[in-house]
Amino acid sequence: MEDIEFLHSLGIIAVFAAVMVALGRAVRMPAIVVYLLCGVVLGPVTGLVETADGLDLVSEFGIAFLLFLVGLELSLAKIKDVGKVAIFAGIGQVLFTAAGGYLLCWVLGFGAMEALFLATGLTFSSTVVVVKLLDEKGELDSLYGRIAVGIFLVQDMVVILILTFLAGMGTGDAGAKVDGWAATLGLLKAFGGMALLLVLSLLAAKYLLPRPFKWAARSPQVLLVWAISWCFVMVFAAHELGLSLEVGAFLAGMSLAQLPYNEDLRRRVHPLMNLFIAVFFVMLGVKVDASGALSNWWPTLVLSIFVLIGNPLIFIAIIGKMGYGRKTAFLTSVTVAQISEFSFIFAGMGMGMGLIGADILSITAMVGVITIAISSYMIIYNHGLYKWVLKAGLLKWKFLDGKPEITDRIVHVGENLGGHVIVVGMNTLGRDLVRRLAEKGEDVLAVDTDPEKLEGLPGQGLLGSVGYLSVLEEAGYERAKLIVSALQIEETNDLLAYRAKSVGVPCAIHVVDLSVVENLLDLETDYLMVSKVDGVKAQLRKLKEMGVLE
Amino acid sequence: MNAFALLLVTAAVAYGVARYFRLPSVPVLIGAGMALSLAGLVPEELSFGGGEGAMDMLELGLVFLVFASGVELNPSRFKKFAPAVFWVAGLQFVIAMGAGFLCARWMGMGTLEAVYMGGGLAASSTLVVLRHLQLRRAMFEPYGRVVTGVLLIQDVALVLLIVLLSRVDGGGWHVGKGLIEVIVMGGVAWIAQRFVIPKLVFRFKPDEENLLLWLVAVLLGFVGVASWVGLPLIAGAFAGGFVFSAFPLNGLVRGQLSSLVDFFHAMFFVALGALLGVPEPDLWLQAALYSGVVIVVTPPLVAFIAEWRGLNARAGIETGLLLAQTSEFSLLLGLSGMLLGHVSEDTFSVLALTTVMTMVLTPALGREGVATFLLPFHPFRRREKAKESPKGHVLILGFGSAGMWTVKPLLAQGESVLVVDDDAAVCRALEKKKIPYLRGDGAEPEVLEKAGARDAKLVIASMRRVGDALTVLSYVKGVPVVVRVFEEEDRQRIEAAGGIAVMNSDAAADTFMAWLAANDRVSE
Repeated sequence: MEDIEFLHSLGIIAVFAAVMVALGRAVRMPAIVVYLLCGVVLGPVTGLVETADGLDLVSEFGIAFLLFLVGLELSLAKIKDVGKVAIFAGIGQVLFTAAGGYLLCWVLGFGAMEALFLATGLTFSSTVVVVKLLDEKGELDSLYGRIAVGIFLVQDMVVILILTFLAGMGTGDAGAKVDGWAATLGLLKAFGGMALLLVLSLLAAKYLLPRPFKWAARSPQVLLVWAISWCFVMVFAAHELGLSLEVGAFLAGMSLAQLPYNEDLRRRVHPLMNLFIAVFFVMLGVKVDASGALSNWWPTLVLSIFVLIGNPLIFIAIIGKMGYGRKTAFLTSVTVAQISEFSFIFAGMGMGMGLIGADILSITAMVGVITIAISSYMIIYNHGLYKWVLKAGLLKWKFLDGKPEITDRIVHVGENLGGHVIVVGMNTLGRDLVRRLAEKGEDVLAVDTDPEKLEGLPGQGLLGSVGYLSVLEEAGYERAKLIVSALQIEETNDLLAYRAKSVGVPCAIHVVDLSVVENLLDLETDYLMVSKVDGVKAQLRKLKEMGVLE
Repeated sequence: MNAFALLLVTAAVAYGVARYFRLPSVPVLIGAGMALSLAGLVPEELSFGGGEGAMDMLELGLVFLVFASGVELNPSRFKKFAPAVFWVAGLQFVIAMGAGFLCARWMGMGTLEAVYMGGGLAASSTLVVLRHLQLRRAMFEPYGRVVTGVLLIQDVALVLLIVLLSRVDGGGWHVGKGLIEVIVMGGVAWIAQRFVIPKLVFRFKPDEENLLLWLVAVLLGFVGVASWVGLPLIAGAFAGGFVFSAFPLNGLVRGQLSSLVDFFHAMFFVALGALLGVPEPDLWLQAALYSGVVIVVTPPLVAFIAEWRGLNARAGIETGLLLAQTSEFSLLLGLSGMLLGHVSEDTFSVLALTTVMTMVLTPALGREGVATFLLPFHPFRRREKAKESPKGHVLILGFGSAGMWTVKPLLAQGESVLVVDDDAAVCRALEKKKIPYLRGDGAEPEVLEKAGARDAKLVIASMRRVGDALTVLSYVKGVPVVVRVFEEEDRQRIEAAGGIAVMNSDAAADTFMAWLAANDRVSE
């Protein structure tokens, strides 16, 4: 009846990925690597999934949501302090890697144009891969995480300039004349557009967004839709200005980052990002054409090693020279040990213009898959890798000596809490409990989805819905001594009791109606606050006070 | 991508408007989409048979929305009221569908088209009604439970109807085969729900990202199976959702799912409105007529059936008023019919407009005062025979589950007590215990008069709603009225009206703190 080719393909991707991820956990394979492998199997190997508009659109959504999340995490203030190093390291690395890569390709026997395309393709690292991994590790807001994000954004700008320049070139023969005027205009437009978009996002952050979003924040659904639509407005603006969707989405997120609900927004956008970005990585694998690379296995291997080792070395040198410590330099440099999805696009454009052959595109794609796969492991286990490298004496460079390690990172609400009491639901009962517990000397963390209800309370507050596990994790629920729910929502109370039981933390749940008692007793809830019954007892005391009862 | 930027911005505006005017979001989203069409801003990619990427995403949105409905199909929510639920849902659906069918035929529609229209008019909106119940904190009221159950059964009925109608072109055998196939698929979903998925989840303990992947895999797996056997995708999506409907899985996935649902909800209904365009004036008139049918037929029908099955008159009327709108599933029924060629675009537009109109009216119809206003017109409302009103007694309005705690000490010290309650079972129990009672709604002036409220020495108002207590306070000037409330704002309202408020929340907090102090394990 209906044309469900899109749903069919998406279903195959989801089923295969779900199975592979479960199996991949046994060998601690990062999800990104699993997705890439899925894509390679589903695409080039079996042909079960082909590229399609719908899947590409889902992939684009994934990229937009990912960069939006990055922006939400990193406000302008947080980016500012790494701005200088990001610019110098980003540009410096582009120059050195391009030069080094070109030389290497020349040594490997490639022609000038081929070497140029390959070297350029090797230069850029994947924002999407690194940000996804850092987000999974919860280290996006660490110093090295912020530096890495800053560098990638600078690289994104360079990519835009290069793609714009390339688009300004003539099509057809390799010897076609470059349309210099068009290329120059394109470059000016890109610079101007970036500046304009940045100014717009800063002005919006300061004057346009705070009040409406404060009003919207009382309804989580409205807040989410408004935030996502703002993201897509900025993506649209970026597109019209000739910029990438990553830049638009990132600036959209950054302009919302200073709002008090940015954490709650992050949690709500996360599931969207998780789903769509998984499709992106699978499709990356689907698009790989390995045939050309297999017959050029030697240059593929050499170039992969150059990216995996050479890029990080260049970065360590630059970041170390800028005054950062050994560990920060190492951790940041490990994040650039892969090439970007832009490299695929760049090579594809070159092939379409007849400047390079299909084998160069193949080599680029295989280098991409190999470096993304290996660098994912490097990033996931970066701290362990650092210790090993240090122990092996591979970082004994004089210019790294004596540099202080800056370990600042954003501390989340519940991180330093332990033995605290979490109170969920700031209705009258919840607020009363928070006050009484605080008076008793307890460390209290209040949780609610309405920011206004968290105002004026002692202790700490966390905006979010406990339906998301990440909210409970941020509240440090595993380290709490008691979880209390004053909510009058049956499903949420059941879930909270279940989660408390699963980590062995006692819980006290408010019973609105006696019909829910059975469920809560099955969940071994430690204490049931039956407000109705307590109210009747209070009523009897009142009747005694009034002289009605003796 | 630009098409979606436009849809999302439109949705953002629509949500803002809906929130500001306290309207349900679905009709405002559809209306916003229509406004897009009126302004000529509908992107080219958005058309039936238009650009694949955009329509693919909307198709994904559609299956997600239906999937989310399946996740909420948890019969344990209403098991205590199961007989009332099945009777109300069954009879209401059949009779309302019949009324809608006859009306459609009278308006000149063909038989098959009229069946679609009748089915579309019979179902009520789960999204709108549940939201309304949550806002009014009425989920635990008897009528709230019944309404929840009725909505879930209507969703199932409509999915079955979509399946059956999709096969009607193939004749009776094909229809029967479709029914068997959907039952088998339902059976497979039930097995997966009871035995397979929970075990897998607890064995592999997927994190949130992987759980989401599993969710999508199950959803699209069932959609694929539905497609393979020739069933509508909606049936597969619903069955897939049902797989995750049992606790605790439904709780574990709800958070992840809610973001996706909110996203697709926004896009889908705006896109639907944009695709519909602005209908002609005569279609608006037709929609108004059908809306009238829904609003006139559903409340009395449901009120009658509900009271016959044990709910009191007011609860029955409230149930009926809350169900007096058509559903987002009605739109899916119409969409399915249109894609099959059973239903014209105009008919689908009429159904969509009817949905918009009736949904917009729901908040107004669902207000407390409306049921109270309609109560005297209830023809079958049980009325107590007139007796002499007592004086100097303690009047207890609403017995509930904790009433004996209050009545017993009063009776023990020789006080004259009269209990007013509208629950037949409660009244039977009081009769057995030989406690004087009056069956009726304690917020009704007529009942208060019979109960001698103005001559009582004390009134204890233990009704569920603060509004009822305020009604009592306005009737019994000069008599002390004790009211138990939960929220601070309610306490202020009661005291401003001259009542004596007892805070349930304060009392619960006192007891909890005492427990905490006494409980070594926790208070260390």
